[in-house]
Amino acid sequence: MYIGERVEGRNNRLVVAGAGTYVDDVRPEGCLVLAILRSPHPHARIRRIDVTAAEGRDDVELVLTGESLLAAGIAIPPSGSYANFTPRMTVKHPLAVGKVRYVGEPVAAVVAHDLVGARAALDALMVDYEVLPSVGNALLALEPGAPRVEDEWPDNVMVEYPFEKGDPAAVLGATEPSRIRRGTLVCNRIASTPLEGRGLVADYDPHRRYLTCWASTQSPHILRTLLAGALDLPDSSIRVIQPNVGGAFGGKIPMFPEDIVTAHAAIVLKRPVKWIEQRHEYLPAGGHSRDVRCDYEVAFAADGRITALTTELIADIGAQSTFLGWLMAIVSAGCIPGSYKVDDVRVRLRCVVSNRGPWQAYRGYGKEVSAFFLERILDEVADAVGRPRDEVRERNFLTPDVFPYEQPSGWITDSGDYSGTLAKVKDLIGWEGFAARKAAARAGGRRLGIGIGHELTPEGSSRPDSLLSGTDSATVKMSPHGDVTVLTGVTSPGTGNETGIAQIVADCLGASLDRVRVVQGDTELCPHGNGNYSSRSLTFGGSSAHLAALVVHDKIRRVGASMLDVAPGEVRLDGHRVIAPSGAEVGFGAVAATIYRSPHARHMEGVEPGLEVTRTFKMDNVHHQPEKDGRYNQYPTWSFSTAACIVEVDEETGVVRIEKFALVHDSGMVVNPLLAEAQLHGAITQGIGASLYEEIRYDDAGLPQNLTLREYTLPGMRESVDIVLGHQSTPSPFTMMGMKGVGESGISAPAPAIASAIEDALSDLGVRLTEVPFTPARVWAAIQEAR
Amino acid sequence: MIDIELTLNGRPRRLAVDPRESLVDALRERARLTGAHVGCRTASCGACTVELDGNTVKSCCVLAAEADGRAVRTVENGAEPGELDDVQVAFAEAQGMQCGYCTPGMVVSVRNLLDRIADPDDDEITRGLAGNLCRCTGYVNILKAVRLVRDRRLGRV
Amino acid sequence: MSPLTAEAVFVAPRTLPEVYTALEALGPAATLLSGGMSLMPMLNRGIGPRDAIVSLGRVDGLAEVTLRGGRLSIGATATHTAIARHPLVARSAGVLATAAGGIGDLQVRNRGTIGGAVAHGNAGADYLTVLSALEATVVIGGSAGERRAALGDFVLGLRSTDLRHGEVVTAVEVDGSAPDAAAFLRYHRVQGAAPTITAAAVIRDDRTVLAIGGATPTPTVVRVSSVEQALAAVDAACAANPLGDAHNPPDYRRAMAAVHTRRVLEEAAA
Repeated sequence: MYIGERVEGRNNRLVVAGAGTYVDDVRPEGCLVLAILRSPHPHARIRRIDVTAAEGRDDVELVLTGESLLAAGIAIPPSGSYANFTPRMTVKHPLAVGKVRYVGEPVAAVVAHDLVGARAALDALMVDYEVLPSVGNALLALEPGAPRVEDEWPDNVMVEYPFEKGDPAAVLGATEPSRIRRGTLVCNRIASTPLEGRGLVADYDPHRRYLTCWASTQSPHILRTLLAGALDLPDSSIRVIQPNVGGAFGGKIPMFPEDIVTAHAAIVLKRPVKWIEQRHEYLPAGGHSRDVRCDYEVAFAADGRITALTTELIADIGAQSTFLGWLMAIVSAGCIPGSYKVDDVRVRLRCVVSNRGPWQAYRGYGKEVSAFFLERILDEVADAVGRPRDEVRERNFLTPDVFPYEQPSGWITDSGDYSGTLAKVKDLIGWEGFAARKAAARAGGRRLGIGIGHELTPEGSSRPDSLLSGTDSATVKMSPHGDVTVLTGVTSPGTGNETGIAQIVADCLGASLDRVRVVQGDTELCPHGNGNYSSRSLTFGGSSAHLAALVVHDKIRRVGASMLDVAPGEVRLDGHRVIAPSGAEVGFGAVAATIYRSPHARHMEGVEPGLEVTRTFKMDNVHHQPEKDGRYNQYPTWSFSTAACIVEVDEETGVVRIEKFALVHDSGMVVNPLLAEAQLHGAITQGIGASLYEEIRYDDAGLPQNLTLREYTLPGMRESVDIVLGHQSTPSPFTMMGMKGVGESGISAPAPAIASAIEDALSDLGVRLTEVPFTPARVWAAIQEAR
Repeated sequence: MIDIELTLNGRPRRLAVDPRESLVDALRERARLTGAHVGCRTASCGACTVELDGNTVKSCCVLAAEADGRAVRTVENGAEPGELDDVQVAFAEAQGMQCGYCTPGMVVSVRNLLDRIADPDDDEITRGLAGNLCRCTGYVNILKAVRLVRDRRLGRV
Repeated sequence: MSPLTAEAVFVAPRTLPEVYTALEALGPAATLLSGGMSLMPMLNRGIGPRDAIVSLGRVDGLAEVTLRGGRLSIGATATHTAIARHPLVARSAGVLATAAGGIGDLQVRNRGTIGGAVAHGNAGADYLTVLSALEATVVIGGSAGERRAALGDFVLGLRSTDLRHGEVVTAVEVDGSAPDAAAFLRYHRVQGAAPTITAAAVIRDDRTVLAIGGATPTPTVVRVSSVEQALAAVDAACAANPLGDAHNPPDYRRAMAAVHTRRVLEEAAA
């Protein structure tokens, strides 16, 4: 058995050699370089773009503007429909038409012979802007008479999504004031920041009318279809190849304006064109996440049980782009109250456009925002009733017997055992007995604190009327020598699912792992799939591969048994061999050779020739027909984790140091613990980064304050902490083998756990942290306020 | 364009470069060594780390012209395709990577660290790698990888 | 942004006179490059002229560290790594070695130079603070000859110095006799961010010089008579010339200036 083994990642030895091929390493003969001129203004009308000087340069092959793309018929109309809300939509332009709405918005593109020449050509472009009044954040955008980001909308609200369960107003009205708390919580803006930026190389063959794109993307098939729509080409005229991807985390889910511009330039020029994003382009314009404010009101009983909860969410989704980010806010709303049983709930979300940069998907996909809000509220309730924070969580957790559980949003949580991960993480961190340690440290002048944070991560998102749904096919084929190739529509931006899928297929077939190759990331080779998002690669991609492998398994079994002269039910498949009860055996090579070489001979009687099978797994608990059965659910599996940490706070400076961090995750059956842990280490580190170090900031006019990694600071090895991991497995009753996604686990729990621990360290001061990240300046300010 | 002569991974090499061109671009575009990666161009992330005259530098913020007459070592280091050194093997075994984009820079920094300090403790390892960012997998397995290769070299495992 | 000349120029002279000649010949378009750790990130983003680069990297002897006539002289192109490890620096101005060893990360220290850092004049920069406390002199060369300026006179404001076109910071000088006691503190939010506050204290013959960087556009320098007097002086300077950014607003920097005033004086006295 390979499932459950700590198998090394299959790409490790390639990439550690420096031999990986990332998109910037793709260089077709004669490849030109495209660079983008971006708006320096948060909001401005484009009066005129003078391209004469740029076009006049010897090494410039093409200059594109919004108007030239419009003339070529390129514009992205709204598409898709939504189950529970109706957003205002706009036609999107890859290069700005009429006006710019955020700093970094693409305005024009130049194609030159190399990067140095392309930069010089950008300098030669002259844009005449009429600067417009701007709205630098959602609160300003909601003020009466605020400048409008979209001229044709009556205000800056893109979508309003309210839902209610029970009667929270009545419960709040009937609760005595000492059992009610109100407040505001804020999750500030961050950026996923994969070390490799976005990028695309496009090459057009005019004879075959065929466009080949190498893209640093998470979803080649989706990008192909979206590009085909944008460029008015048949899907079959485009091949998208995903080379090695240097990290993605949601940040490379298609499609980006630059993808369209680059592909269009290649078609116009009939030459290969490359666009590689620079970091100072990414930080303002590559897409952000979070930036949500929550005004809440919570009522509770004397024992800490929450009796009613209302939340008003305002999501600053920035300006609209072709990006797929804004739906994250819907998920934040939909995951309230998440792991907690509250029967009287009201949630109202408003997604507000502003002159900040657009949102783009990032690991957590909104769930980290609801986790932060809920856990902060739970801590506040615990303080209010004077009960321990763990006990108050226990009091409110959904219990294992209630699943499948319909959330107030209507989504259906498959399974869970939240008390289990809480109990385990308390053991790992040393919850019992910490009070004594804390007191001893305090006597020595040090402030230590302990905290917990719980997260819920619904995965496998399958939205209705959307390309990002649940179609992740896999092909398993065995060659005449008995070697196995798996072609899959899911992709790996470095996460290692190719290794996990190989383990699943090898076990299913009884094959040797080293004779199973996994191929992904090529629309011409692989069957359709969603690529990589919402932790679907194993639950969907692995299950589809398993289904296909079962068919191959069955044929090998039948033919092998015939060759061994026993009944199919008597043999077992193991070690790349078919083995009879007597011990007689025949290798897969011989069986495959029989199938290919002798399809009409004795062992193939009643057996269809060929050893290539494509299957697509369908999730049973995704529900898209509310009109029929009253159910709407886009998330089939709901992983969860509980984190705990011990921090030390310097009360003079507000500096927080994490002494120990523990997390117990439950993502059902784990295929490869080594890779799952690598994922969790990374997610937790990103979660810690977003808790303490990372923040995309804008001024009130919408000017970004972080243009380099010297201002948008990622955690490095000095900030690294020793992460202690624990596992729990509550298998999903709805997926094959009980798998759930692990890709987003671990990113949400750090912020509330760290906040909780900081408050504990400062408990005698009564400090309350309401805004993440907890930069030294914020912690210091909170201490001053408490004093 | 100007001509520079350097010792690249132990062998003399002449390259024609633009005076404004960074060393990382010259290595990648002219010498066709794509192991060094560009992640920031502000000397922040360390994905472009190479050795210049035996010292690690971030080659995005060194002009190619500055390398004239000097010795540059990259992650490739003249190895045959498919050949890995002990640092690389330790990274692979410890799963000290996910996407691998930062890994070549990490490998160069670790080689340099172990050349300077044969038996680094965790603090010395951390200081040696503080200039190399990993976004995918954090630093737990990277630390494990460095300890592993250190201990193997010292015969401890 | 500069117009692109057809032929970009890179020169790396062997002598300072050749550097001055090149700067004169190329005029205002010339960009003087030392270690590049401040300059290259800007050039890479298209900020500033980049078509005529004069490198100091090959000037003979410009990285030398010498002790002559009671003065420790550190050549402009000495790297942070070299300064952190140099025995003469350790002996005469250990606090400078401490500061050099804490800048950025190893790769940055291997490349960045003291002359470049001083010429760049960034607020809170480790060197400006420690050199202020060491009462350093900046040596400036040019075709018209050499001049010397006290560091406090040379650094005019945030990223603004008295370096005129055609001139080069060639060395930094400090007292060659080791102080009686000294301390340097660097407080940064996270690896990779500029320091929030740098603090240095140098005690020599019962005279204490304190410098705090990062809370005002140029380091605040105080001749210390008591901790209370130093705290008051630093706070007054912060109030008069506040400095802040998105992550560290002025009131926070001001408070941290006080914290680090106390801490660095305690450490120096210990």
